[in-house]
Amino acid sequence: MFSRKHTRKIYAVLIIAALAFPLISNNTYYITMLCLAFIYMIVAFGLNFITGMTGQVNLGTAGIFCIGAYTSALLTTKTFISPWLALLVVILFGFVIGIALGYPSLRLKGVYLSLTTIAFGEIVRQLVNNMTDFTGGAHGVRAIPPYCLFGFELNTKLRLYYFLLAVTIMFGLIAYRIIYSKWGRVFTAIRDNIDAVDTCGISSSKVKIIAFTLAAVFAAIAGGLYAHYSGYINPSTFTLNLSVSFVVMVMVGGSGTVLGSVLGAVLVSILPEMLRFLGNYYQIVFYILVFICTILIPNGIVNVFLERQKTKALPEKN
Amino acid sequence: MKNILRVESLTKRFGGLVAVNDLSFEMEARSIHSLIGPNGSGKTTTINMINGTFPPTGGRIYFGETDITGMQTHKISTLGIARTFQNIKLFSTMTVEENLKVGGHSRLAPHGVVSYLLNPVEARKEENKLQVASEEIIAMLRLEDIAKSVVASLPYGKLKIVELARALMSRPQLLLLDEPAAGLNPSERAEFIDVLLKVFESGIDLFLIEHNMDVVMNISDKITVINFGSKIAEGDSASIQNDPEVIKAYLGEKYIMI
Repeated sequence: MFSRKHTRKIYAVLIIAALAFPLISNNTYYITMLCLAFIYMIVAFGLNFITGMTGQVNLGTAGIFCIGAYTSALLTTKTFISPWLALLVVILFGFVIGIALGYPSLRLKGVYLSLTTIAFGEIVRQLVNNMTDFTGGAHGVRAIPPYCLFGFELNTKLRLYYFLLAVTIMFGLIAYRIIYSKWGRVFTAIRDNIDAVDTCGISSSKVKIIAFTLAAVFAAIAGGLYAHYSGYINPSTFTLNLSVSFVVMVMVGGSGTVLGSVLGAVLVSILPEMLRFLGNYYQIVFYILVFICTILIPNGIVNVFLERQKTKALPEKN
Repeated sequence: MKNILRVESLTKRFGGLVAVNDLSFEMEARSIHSLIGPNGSGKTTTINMINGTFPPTGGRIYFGETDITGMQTHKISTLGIARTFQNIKLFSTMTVEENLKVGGHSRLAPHGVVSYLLNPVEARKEENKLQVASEEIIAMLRLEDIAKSVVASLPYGKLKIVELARALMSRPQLLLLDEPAAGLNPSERAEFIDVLLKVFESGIDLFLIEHNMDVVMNISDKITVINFGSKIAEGDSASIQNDPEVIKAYLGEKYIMI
């Protein structure tokens, strides 16, 4: 069992391992996979606020991720502005989408909210797919320029790797601070008992919108990073399948924790690759694992090991 | 005498059903006021309107001089009205202490997310304030031994006190208690009455709905009795116990002693 102090050590070990990995292995394939895992982690950190903590299902994350990616890609390829400037626009878009998606969640619950978010994701993808003149349609956007940092173009795998690692650590820190704060408590309180949140003098509507906005900003930024990481994007990436993968990362990894999102993102992006030796069976094995995890450990893998101070129930009087 | 709560011709209809009908009463400051009545007489509906869970169909509610009719629950709470629920509503996956800290969130930790992230010093201060306040209330209600326990693992009697403790975190002027003693055995009830009196002495006025007459009759300064949504009697415990209308509503006509 681990307490919070132990998890800090685990983070330190993980960060050192991630820093050292390219020095030990020069397998560029794994480095590329890890880059993608880092980007997914940022999305998972954000989604954790809504789905992991506040308990609102969001199956439209791929839509937000897509808007982030296309915003940055189109701005940098059509207007030739710096990717950094585009990032500001991406953050702004994330903010607006978060508020816009948060509002339906005030009225809709459960299945209905899931359907709304699925519809949102598909609307975005269909629009991108069909607005051929503007977005390039199914051909996607090519030759997206890389980020520049201190005069270096982040155009090699190794530079990208360290850049994405740094950004991910930054967002992990932000997520960590929010989770273990009054905000983390209020997010969980909404999942546990929403009526009681309002009687505590807290507007549950406002808190839900905050959770959605945080998640959308995280996902949009990750989308922007993705566009410049891969240099080429097309609509077939941003399917419902991707949205489901994000939920899997949060819930199988461990809801309500940063470590869970890290583990989940690594599992979802790398495990299918590891299982490739199974040939045609690798996807089915992967989803059987998801199935088993969901039934046996609904709070996710990390929470099995995390110590929650639980004293035994006091004996009933009489 | 100053009123803390004034309800004027309050009415609530759910479709064709009149749950509360033209109910008026006044609650004096520094008093314990009880609302009693048979099952389904509209007691919880009344508390729900006072606390803003839903707006009344007609009538007005004043908290002191402020008209709070139809205001949102979280705003009413920040004005100084806290409540507990008949079927306890706690945050079950969180510890007692965390529950209390959520209770104090709006009063002691008003900073938004962005300013929270940008200003760690202020964030630390807020958390300390919440810690101190929750420890104070935990000590006052003698919850020290379970402060770090997850709520889901606690027995019913304790949960009632934890919910009360959370309500106190917002430092309310008026506390609405919906059947606080329901489901407690006689010794737990006696303990709970002590706790309620302690809360009252700390300067918080109490408005309660209750079925257990030992609780109501022992601590109430004034009792309002309603049946089918309308007021049938009001007064101190002695006059209520002898009121023929009240006896009829509770026990039936044949029990009226003439």
